[in-house]
Amino acid sequence: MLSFLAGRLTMGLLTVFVTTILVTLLIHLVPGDPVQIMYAQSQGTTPEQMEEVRKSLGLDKPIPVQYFMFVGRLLEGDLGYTIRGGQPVLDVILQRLPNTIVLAVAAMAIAILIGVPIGFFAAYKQGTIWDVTLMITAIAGISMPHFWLGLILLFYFAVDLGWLPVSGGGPLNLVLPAVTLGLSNAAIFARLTRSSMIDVLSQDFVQTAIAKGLPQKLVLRRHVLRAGLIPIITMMGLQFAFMMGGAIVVENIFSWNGVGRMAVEAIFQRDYPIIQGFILTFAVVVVIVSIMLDAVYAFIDPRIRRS
Amino acid sequence: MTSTSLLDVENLSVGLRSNRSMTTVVSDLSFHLKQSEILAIVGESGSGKSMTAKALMGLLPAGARITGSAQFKDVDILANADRNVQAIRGTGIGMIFQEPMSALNPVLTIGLQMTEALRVHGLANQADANKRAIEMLDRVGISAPHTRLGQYPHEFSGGMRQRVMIAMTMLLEPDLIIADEPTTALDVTVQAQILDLLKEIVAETSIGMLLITHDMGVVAETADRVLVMKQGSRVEEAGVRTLFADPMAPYTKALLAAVPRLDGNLSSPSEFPDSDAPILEVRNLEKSFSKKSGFWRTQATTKALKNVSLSVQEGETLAIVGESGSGKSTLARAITRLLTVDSGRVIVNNQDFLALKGQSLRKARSDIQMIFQDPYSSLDPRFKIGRTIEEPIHIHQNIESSQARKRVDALLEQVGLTPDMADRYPHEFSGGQRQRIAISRALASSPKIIVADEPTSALDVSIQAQVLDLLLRLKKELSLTMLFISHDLAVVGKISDRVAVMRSGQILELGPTDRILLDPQHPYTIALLSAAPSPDPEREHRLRVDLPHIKDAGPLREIQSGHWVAT
Repeated sequence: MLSFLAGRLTMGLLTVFVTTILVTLLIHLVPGDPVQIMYAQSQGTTPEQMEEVRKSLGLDKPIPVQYFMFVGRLLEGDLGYTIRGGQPVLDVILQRLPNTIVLAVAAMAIAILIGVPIGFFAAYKQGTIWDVTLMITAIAGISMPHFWLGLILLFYFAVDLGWLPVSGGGPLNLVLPAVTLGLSNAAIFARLTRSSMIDVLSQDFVQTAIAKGLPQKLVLRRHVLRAGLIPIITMMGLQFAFMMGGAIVVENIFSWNGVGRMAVEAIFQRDYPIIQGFILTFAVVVVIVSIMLDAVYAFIDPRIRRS
Repeated sequence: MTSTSLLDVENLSVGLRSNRSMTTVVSDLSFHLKQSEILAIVGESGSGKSMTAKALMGLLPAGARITGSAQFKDVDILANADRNVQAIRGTGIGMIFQEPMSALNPVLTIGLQMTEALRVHGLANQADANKRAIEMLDRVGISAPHTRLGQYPHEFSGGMRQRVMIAMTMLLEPDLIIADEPTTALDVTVQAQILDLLKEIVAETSIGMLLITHDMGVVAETADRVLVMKQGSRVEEAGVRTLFADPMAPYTKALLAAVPRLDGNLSSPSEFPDSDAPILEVRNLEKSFSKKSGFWRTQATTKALKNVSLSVQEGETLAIVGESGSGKSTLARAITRLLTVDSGRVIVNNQDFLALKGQSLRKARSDIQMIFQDPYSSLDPRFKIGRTIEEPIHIHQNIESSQARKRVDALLEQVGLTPDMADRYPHEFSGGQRQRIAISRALASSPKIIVADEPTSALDVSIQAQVLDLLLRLKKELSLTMLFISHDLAVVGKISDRVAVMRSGQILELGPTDRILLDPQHPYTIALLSAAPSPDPEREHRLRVDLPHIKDAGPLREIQSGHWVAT
């Protein structure tokens, strides 16, 4: 199991490494001179000032040199300074990252708590009207874009009924964005759980358990659920990455002060250091979460734990 | 034998729902089972034998319709099924399944799975249950039983898992065991041990056993009485000796005649003098599979082929026999270049086949074609079979479409099908027909050598006999050279000129078929032959020979002209 996790860790570091290369190239992938684009909207910037910014970002040097400078500073924990305001990028990100993680975790919890039981129930009732209804609902849930669902929820629960605040940063404010983000993922979990459980239900060991005379509840809880959860745990890592992506949209709808909203603002302002920092942070978070889930996976599946 | 009736099944019919209509899978079946008796229900696929077992245990899918009665110790378990069946499951009737690899839950410990039913039925507390589980594991021949409860199924081999399964069932002290093809997924040497164990248990505890099987050899060795089923109905029921000596129904007669036997009607092997230019020569093949673990490190290397050499003369059939893990399929795949070997050479028609590239490789490939074991997965379900057969013709021969089409028709007729079938899809054919299609595809490029990897082991015996006859006929008509991979010595006896016995990636014995089957020299060959169930209840049961432990066999030594044995 240790070598399994060591392998995952190496893969994770490799992912982050590749991301650093992409992030360096990012500035140059946009057509045109990055600094000119940056200042396109603001008038009155002198060529000298632009030259200074170019120098401060190291854009006057060859790309490989830029890369090594970037990685060198990165290893010291320095992500550069924002162009607007000149604050350290790392501080800006660390200040907002907890908000995004709280949102993603809350949404994940909602997705699992709603999706897994629904999928399990649908699998158990496979082929009945229950199954069909739930799965059609799930497809509708998957098809629904975040921004639309978010606006609908906002309209009813915040504006019409006034139960929840429209925007802001308190615990009550978490409810709507987390539900928005969680619901569509719940639909994905429901479908995934259903197919996984149907797969397990047809396995021989379930027949064995029934033939031993175990009561149905025990067969479902002990034999079906546990074996069926394994592929779902694997999917959670991937889902978490999607959820971080979804957070960008949802944070903007509900003015939730996380890194997603920060990233969108930075993109509009062409604040490259922030965008770079954001992408890198995103990659690191996703890698850490995948490794954590792999550990859980290895713990639940004895075939990996014992090897 | 003074014994009371244990199970009385009267007029059992089972219907399954498929696409809004009811298909009757068992109709009007009656049978009786006494204590200490083993009743075999035998039949080919679709005979309803497994459905009968499932109906008794209430394991049929939802929507199944069951009529009739089944008196088990004064309770009709089919009436008010939900309650009555639940009451006898496990403690009254225990069930052993076919696939020991999937019949145990992979994520729960053996200990939990063995003891949970005892706990649920309130027969023991956990400590007591553990103690009984350990005793039972010891009884079924699991070594170091006290260390096993914390282990998971993947830590056991197939045969060991089936022992665990039997122990688990016996722990509840049922009065009746239903064993549904309990040894079909196992190697023949392991099968012999499991059958012996089941017979011992019945003799010791005087329980009854319903043995569901397709294998007449297993029936002859194990059962007291036999019920032959076909398409859901009873064909014949008799004591085992009567049935084998004097079958009444034509179907039973045909079934028995189709079973390949080790004794008698061996193919008369043709002599193929060692020429200087064998059509196929394999020299020092080595192949190892490594299981990757960690990121760069590889560990746990398994040697699938260890220095394997052999040669096949033109027109000859060489059988490669071995159990699972012997490397026989790896050898077949290495020879056809479906996998790359570590070292060694394969010489086909005086060409170094493994070194060929591009055009010359393609040309050489048309000379050596393969038939796979499972005709259900070896045919593309989205291709009409005409297209499947035509494809190699276009790849290997430069002929027009109309000509190719004629060739497809001829190929279909050659394997006993009709040209009008070319426009159908694989799912419209039975297993035997599909294997015929696979054979005609292999013949399409006019090969000189056919490598057949267990071509009949997925088929029913009566179909198996037909496909073997077809292969024999084609071999003569087209003067094919054949490499026939099999686990079944009796099948091999019917078809091959020479036999090579493999184990752990090595050839242990190689010689003419009659010499290997009638006068085996290597202890492993002897053990393999003694374990093979013989479809003859009158026959003195062979002494079981324990499998010799062979780590690394020495080089082959010729003990008689053409008969080689590993030292």
